[in-house]
Amino acid sequence: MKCPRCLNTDRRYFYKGSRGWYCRRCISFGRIMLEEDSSPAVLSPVTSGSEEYVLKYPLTPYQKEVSHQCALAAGEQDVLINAVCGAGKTELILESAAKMLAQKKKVCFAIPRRQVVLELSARLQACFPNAAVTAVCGGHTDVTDGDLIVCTTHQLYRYYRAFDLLILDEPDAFPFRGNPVLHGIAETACRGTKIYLTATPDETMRRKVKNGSLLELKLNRRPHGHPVPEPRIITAPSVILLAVLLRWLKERDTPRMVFVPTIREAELMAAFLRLFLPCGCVTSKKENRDAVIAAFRRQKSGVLVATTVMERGVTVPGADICVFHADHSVFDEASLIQMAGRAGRTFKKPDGDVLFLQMSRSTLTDRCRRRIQEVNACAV
Amino acid sequence: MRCLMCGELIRRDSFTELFQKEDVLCPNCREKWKRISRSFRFEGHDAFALYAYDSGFSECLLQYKELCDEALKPVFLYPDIGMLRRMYRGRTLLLLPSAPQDVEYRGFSHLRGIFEWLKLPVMEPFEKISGRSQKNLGKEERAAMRTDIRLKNGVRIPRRVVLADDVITTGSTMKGALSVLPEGLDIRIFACGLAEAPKERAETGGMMRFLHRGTGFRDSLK
Repeated sequence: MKCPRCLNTDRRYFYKGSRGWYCRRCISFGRIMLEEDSSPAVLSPVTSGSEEYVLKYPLTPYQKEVSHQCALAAGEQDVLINAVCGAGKTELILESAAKMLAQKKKVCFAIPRRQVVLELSARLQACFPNAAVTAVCGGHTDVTDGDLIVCTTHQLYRYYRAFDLLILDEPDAFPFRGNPVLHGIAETACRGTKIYLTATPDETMRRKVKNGSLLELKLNRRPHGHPVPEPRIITAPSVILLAVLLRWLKERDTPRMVFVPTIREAELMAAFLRLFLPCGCVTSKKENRDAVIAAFRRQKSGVLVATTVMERGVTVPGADICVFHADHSVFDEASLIQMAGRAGRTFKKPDGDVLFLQMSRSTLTDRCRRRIQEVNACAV
Repeated sequence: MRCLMCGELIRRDSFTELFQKEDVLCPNCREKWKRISRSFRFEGHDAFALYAYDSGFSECLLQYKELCDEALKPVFLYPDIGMLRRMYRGRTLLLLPSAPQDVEYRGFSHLRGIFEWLKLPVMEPFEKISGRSQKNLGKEERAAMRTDIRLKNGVRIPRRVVLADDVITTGSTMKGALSVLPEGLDIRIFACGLAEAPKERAETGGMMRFLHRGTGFRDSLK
């Protein structure tokens, strides 16, 4: 037995109800009977002229090269674009998307996080002025059809075998990472090929690259040509780390982000830092999250305490980054690299300071630093 | 055994867990349900509800009714089967009606699924006249549905009955069902979930009633 939607084969999740067998692993997307044949989602054909695209600024030669290679492979085989944080991954797939649209094929851009969907659909609409770009995510589900669909990975359940090109942005981010249901749904939504965009490919992707089923295209250089800032690692007892952190915060007047592992720690840290300087706090539990982030962006020299909720898709010009308790088990190599990647993302301030504070030596922080050193070495 | 909601293995290896009732949900999932075990008066009849109709309970009910996850049918009564069987011994459960299109869509009677675990006689003597579903209706529209219920033709109702529903929100379906039942029955009312705080307390209440008197305990329950 196999679920036609999430591809589950584990018998524990199948249940025989009055209508027959159904899969309980993906029940949150509605009951799907195993015996019934699922037909592909019906979408309108791609309109002519939707493939024309404009770029706000020209691509660097390196970006052009990757973009072109990707467009050649798109439609033929799955591609992994392994580009450092801040390399301009979205711009790299425009050519591939345009090529597929020109062939009247359906293209979808799927992202694990909801707030990125709305932001990205606006950006893509500006790039493809003649195409109907549709954002589909929680709260935006009235229209689900368009030439180019931008959706959360959760919404892919609407599109059974509908897409010829599925672009998965940050597939190693929560909640997509390690979620077999979402992986299965993404698999069944795509009848053609996939492009993965990430700075931190996971083990499965690396294995696929090794056995040749996935074509890896690397871009180790940011558009401004500067290397990704390498983290400095300080190992010391907690009290000393707090003193170091305070000093680090005091001697800077740039936007400063302090990442902590847990929501509780974020609140405590914010309360502690407010004794010395004003700071904001962002966690998944905060309701006024968007307002705090907006206020932080407005200030030229604000301080923000955040959990991993802010680790991806955020560009704060000229930010310096500190990760407190970087040896905590909540963080993995990918999230450390992503957090370090928040620094130095703009042409104006292409370098930033990244500081990892930890209580004991950790292989993860060492590996993260080594990975950043490696990509920087490759970029030269 | 695995939890029917999260799929985690239900362990019974700590000392305190040995004394807990057997359940089909793991303690973490069950904790999300707010248990009230409340006796109250409803239209002059003794009524009883197990849980507050809040996030944990409604999440399960939604998955069971709207997403048609039939596997969840034991979760509502499982830990209380013994108690409820004793409470309603000798009575017949009268299940409240669902809209025919809802039953057709689900492919099963959700109330029968919940209450068959009690192994008491079960009847479905009511039907909806208009066939309208209560989903997405406001309070006033639901109140108007009160007259939407009738007894099926040729049904004979036993004397001692329990009117059973999954959840009482506005109570209009229950009132409608009460209004079409013949006079002179011994009626109790049972719902798994209760949405509004009842105004009257039950006449019977024993120790709990003693506790409620003048201790402020009653207010803390609201």
